[in-house]
Order: sequence, then C-alpha cells, then structure tokens
Amino acid sequence: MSTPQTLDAGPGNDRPRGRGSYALRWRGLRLVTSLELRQRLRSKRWYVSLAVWTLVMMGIGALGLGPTLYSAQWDEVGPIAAMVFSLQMILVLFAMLLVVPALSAGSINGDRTAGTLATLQASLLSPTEIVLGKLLAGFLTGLAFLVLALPSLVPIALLGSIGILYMLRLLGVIVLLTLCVTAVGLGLSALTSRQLGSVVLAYVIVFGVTVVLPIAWGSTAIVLNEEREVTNYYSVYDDEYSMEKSRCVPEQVEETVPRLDLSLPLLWGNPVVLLAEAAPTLPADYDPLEDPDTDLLTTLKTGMRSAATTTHPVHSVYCSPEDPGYPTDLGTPPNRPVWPMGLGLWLLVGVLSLLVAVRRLAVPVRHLGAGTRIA
Amino acid sequence: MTQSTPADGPPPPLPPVDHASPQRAPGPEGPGIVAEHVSRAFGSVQAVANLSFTAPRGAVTALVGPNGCGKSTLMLMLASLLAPDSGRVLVGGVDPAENSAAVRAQVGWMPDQFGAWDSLRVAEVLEVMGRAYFLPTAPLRGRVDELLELLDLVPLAQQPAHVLSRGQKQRLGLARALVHDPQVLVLDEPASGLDPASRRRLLQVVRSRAADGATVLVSSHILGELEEMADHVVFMDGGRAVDASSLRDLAARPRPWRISSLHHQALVEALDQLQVRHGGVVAGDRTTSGHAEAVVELPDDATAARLLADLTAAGARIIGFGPTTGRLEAAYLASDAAQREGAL
Repeated sequence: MSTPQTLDAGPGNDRPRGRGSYALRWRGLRLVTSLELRQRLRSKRWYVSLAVWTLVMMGIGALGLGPTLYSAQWDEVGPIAAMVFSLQMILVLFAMLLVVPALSAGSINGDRTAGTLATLQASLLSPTEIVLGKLLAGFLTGLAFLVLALPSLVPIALLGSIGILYMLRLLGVIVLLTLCVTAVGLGLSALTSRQLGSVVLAYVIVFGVTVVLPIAWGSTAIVLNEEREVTNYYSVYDDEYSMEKSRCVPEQVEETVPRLDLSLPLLWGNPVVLLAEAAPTLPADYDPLEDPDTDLLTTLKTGMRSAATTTHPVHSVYCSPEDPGYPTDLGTPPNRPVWPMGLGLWLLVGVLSLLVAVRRLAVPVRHLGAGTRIA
Repeated sequence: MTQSTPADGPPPPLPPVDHASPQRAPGPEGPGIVAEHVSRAFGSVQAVANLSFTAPRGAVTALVGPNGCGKSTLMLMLASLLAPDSGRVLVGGVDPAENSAAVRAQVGWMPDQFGAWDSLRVAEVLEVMGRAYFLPTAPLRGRVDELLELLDLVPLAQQPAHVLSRGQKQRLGLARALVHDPQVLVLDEPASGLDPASRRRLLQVVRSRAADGATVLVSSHILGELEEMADHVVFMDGGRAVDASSLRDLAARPRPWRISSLHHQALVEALDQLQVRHGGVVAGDRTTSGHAEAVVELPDDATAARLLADLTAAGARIIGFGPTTGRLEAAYLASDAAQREGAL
C-alpha cells in the first residue's frame, strides 16, 4: 500500500480570499455546471422527454398547417401559418414553464437529501459558484427544449412571413423568462427542505402568475371603476323625420369608466403577456375589418396595451365619420409598454432568489431550518 | 493530549491559543484541532454542550460515544459546515467562522452517509472532488489513480458510484476525503460496512496519514478497531466530552481478564491460594473453549502480568490468559453512557 503523496500544487491556490460566499471563479462555475449537466445527459428519461417534445412540436405544426395547405389557396397559407406560429410560441413558453421548475426547484434540496450538497459545500467551491453553476445548468437544459422546437418553428415562421426581429424578440423573452424561472426555482429549492415542496411551490407560483392573476385582474373590473365626466359624440339629425342629414355633436356626460389600468400590475409578470409584448405594434390607424390577419400574440399585445391605458375622456364617438363635426383629432392614446415592468420584476425576483440561495448555502451554517440536515 | 470536560463541573483549562492571529497559516506547531467550550443546539435538542478537547497533529484521535451524543455535529463544525452557537473550534489554528475557506482547504471530511452523484463513475467522483478543491489537472489525474490504488478501487473505477456496496462506498468516501491531501482528516464512522480486508486497509491508510503528520479524528462504534487505530480517545455523552485519555494510559485502568486452564480444580485451588476475587470458575464442559475459565477484574496490565506468573507458579495449568475486552471497550463500558440501552 502506498502512502498518499503531497500534491505539488495543492488546494488553496484558487481559494476564495476576501469575497467568501460571493467568490466566483470560472473553474468552479464550469465544474458545477458540467456536473449538473453530466447527470442529466446520462439519463435516458432526459432523451425520451426531448424526443417526445420534438415530435409534439412537429405534430402541432403539421396539424395546424396540413389541412390549410391541402384545401386552401397558397396566398391564404401565410395568415394561418402566422397564427400557428404564435400558438406554437405560446406552447413553447408553457413547456418551459413546466420543465424548468421541475429541473431547478429540486436542485439544491434534492442534492442535500442525496448527501452531495454538503460534499460540495465542504470543498473550496463557493456558494455562488454552486448556485450559479446550477442556474446555468438548469437554464441550458431549458434552452434545449427551445432549440428542439426550432425545426418546427422556423418553417412555419417562413410560411407566415414572420420577421426575423419579431422571432428573435420572442426567443429573447422566452430565454429571459427561462433564466428567471430557473433562478426562482433555485431560491425555493434552497429555502425548503423537501424537494417535492419546492417543486410544488414553484408550480404554484408559475400557475399563479400565468392563470390566477389574470383572472384576478379581470375580477377587479367589478370594483375598479370611477365616475368621470366624458365627452361623447353623437349624431344629431336636423330633420326629425329624415335620417339622411346628421351632424356630430359633443355631449358632456358623467359615466362609469373602468380603471383596469390600476390593477394592471397584476399582469406585469404574466409570461404570456410578456411574450405578446414582443409582437409588433399595430399602427394607430389599424382597422381590424380591413386587415384581420394578425397573429394571436399581436392581438394579445394590442389588448394589453389598450387595458394599460386610462380610458380617454373623448374616445366614445358614436357618429359616422361622414358626419360634419366628426372629431378629427382625439389625440394619440398613450401606448404604454408592459414588458419593462414585467421583465424588470422577473429579473428582480430572479436575482433576489439567487441571493437567497447563496446565503442559504453559505458555510458555516448558523441557522438551520426545522427538519433540515446538512449531511 | 486531550482535555475533557466533565459532565458535572467546570471545564479544565485548555492549552493556550493564539487569539491574536486566528487566521494564521497552519504550521507544524500546536494541535491540529481545538474545540473550546463548543455548544450547538437544534431547536430544543442540545447536540453539543460546552465541549472542549484537543486533537494533536501526527496522531489519531478517536471519538467514542452513544448514538446522538454529538459526534457528527462536532465533525460538521470541524468541516466548517456548521457554526457553533457558542465557543469556537480551531482547525490548524484557523477558526472556520473567521476563514472558512482556509479550514476547508486543509480538512478532509468523510460523512457517515455517502452521497454520490448517481450518474458519475467512481473515478469521476474523485476527479470532480479534486476539481472542487481546484487541483491542477495533471497532478489530479495522478492523484485519482493513486487513491484508486490505495483504496483498492481500481476494478471499480468505471462503475457508477451508486451501484457500489456500502463498504465500497465507504472506501470511495475515504478516497474522496483524501483527494486534496488534507492535513486534518475528519472521519465519521469510516469502518461502517467494511469487510475485514477493507478494515485493515482503512487502518493502514489512517495510520500512514497520522505518520505523515496529519491530524486524524475518527468516530466509530467498532471499538476493537479504534483501539488499533487511535492514539487518543475522547468519550462523549450528552454532547459533552466526559473523559479523555491516551490509549497507552488506558492500560492503567481496570478491566476484566479471562483465565483459561486445562484443569478445573487446579485453577480453583490456585485462585483460592492467591486470594483472587472472582465470579466462579466455570468447568470445561460448560465453556465454548472446552477449558475451565474464570473472569477476574484487575486494576491494570502490570497486575495482570504478576497474576499470570503467580498462577503458573501455583500450578494452575494456564492455557489462556487475556483481557475479555479491549482497553477502549473496557473504558467505555465503565462509563455511564454504556449503561444505557443502545449506547453503542
């Protein structure tokens, strides 16, 4: 039996000095990321789920476009392809929201249960390297689903004449949301002792911002309204017995005006709303009767922007545009974007989650949560 | 060597610690591990209570105590994973609360339960751990090969770690703790699940690390092996160090000795002649050895040597003479902790 020899280049050369928990070295980050990825890449379940996902995306594309290509004229394919494209992007988003929490929200407490987290904590890796390594691995895993959706998305985008910038914006939003949801999952995983608890909590949060908060937002219409003096334009007919000649006259009335703009922050974090925000803005003079071929995301965006705007006091015009006195300048309604607040919120929550995770992984541990074991 | 804290009374004075330079680089002088009035509670459970002891460099110190007496908690604190509520530990002269990374760089910690990344192979586990200590790539490869050889893991090098048996995992756990050539080894139940050959290997590895100047702290319930492995022992109970001694000094403590004779009557007469108190001589047809046997409580090894000579001179026809338990086990069995059920 040989005796362990002293290593020429022992540990400590890369020892975090001064920065403690927040030390970040490329070698440490790469080690944790590769460790996490290696475990997933060696799992057969992982490849099966990716294959199923690819087939589902291809199937949805074919189902959406197939009947159209078979029965319609070629010039009718574009609008349908654009609609299918927007549906697929929403589907990709939902898939990310399903996959990412499952991967990240059990990452830290799962390792703690398996006894591998303490081994890393007892090494020279800093908590920041462990947390960011797991973040990067979870993020890259989520992106794999996005990349595998591209073979289905790109042909449909081409058929629907989807602009490259539009597509890149959509992908950018999904990438950012994936990163933030991964970070939130890690934070929950660091806070809770049981893997199941943090995964469920992550899904509750995702379900909450995606489904519950929009319902809550709609419900606020019942209470969020106010009496306001508005100017309505009505057609007034000169001849009591003839409706041929009319003119447009303003009338000041007190009306109950909905104020959904006040509760709009409930939708800031909604992933679908944020995705829709990446869609092109319709022109101010857009007439849906003349050009009905907008995709789902553009329609959603227009609706959200409208909801985000305080009701204009002179927007109720009941006259015909041919009537004399028809108001020609009602002012340009404000077109307030939702995405800066939404993405800002997600980024803030994501960063805070990472900070929580780093703090929870810092050693030596002073306060240990009830039921939590270090090793 | 060790300083113990009696369960009922003030702790004895500790060796002086250089408080002015708590982050000084570990040097060859001073004990490798110092615990000063360390306490740690988990909720209402006081896992470690006012514990003080020291473990010298170049020696193996055994931690012995019943389940739940705080051994693993203490080891977590020494591995810089857990902070004490009060008191402090110094590892190589460094307080983990002051410089955790410096402590982690010199500690090799082997937990009582092996956690392995499911998909990693045995060699990869060691490689990952080496990288986690930022060892350069080239020496690391050699180090991994060396440890595989040292712990007899070469045939398992390409096996997934999660399929290993408990004993094989223990060997891998020890290799993992040694990967960065630590100056302080903290081993929690390293012999658990090991076969006899692996236990011999563990003994050799631990002794060789101590011979190289490392501080080794090891806990185990297998007292016979600890006796071979350790130079010093600290007995723990209820989170406290209730006793401490060198293994050599344990020879001066009372323990039972078994006397075997070819002739029942000769042994009875010799014991009576020498006026030795005993619990009775059992006839050969009622013992597993087939010889007449008696057990006597002797105060120390020197008395045992004299008794053997006297019995032989008295014609007791002695065929066997030895302690019924090891020194460590005898000392532990004499403690209050051993009187409780499930003490070991």
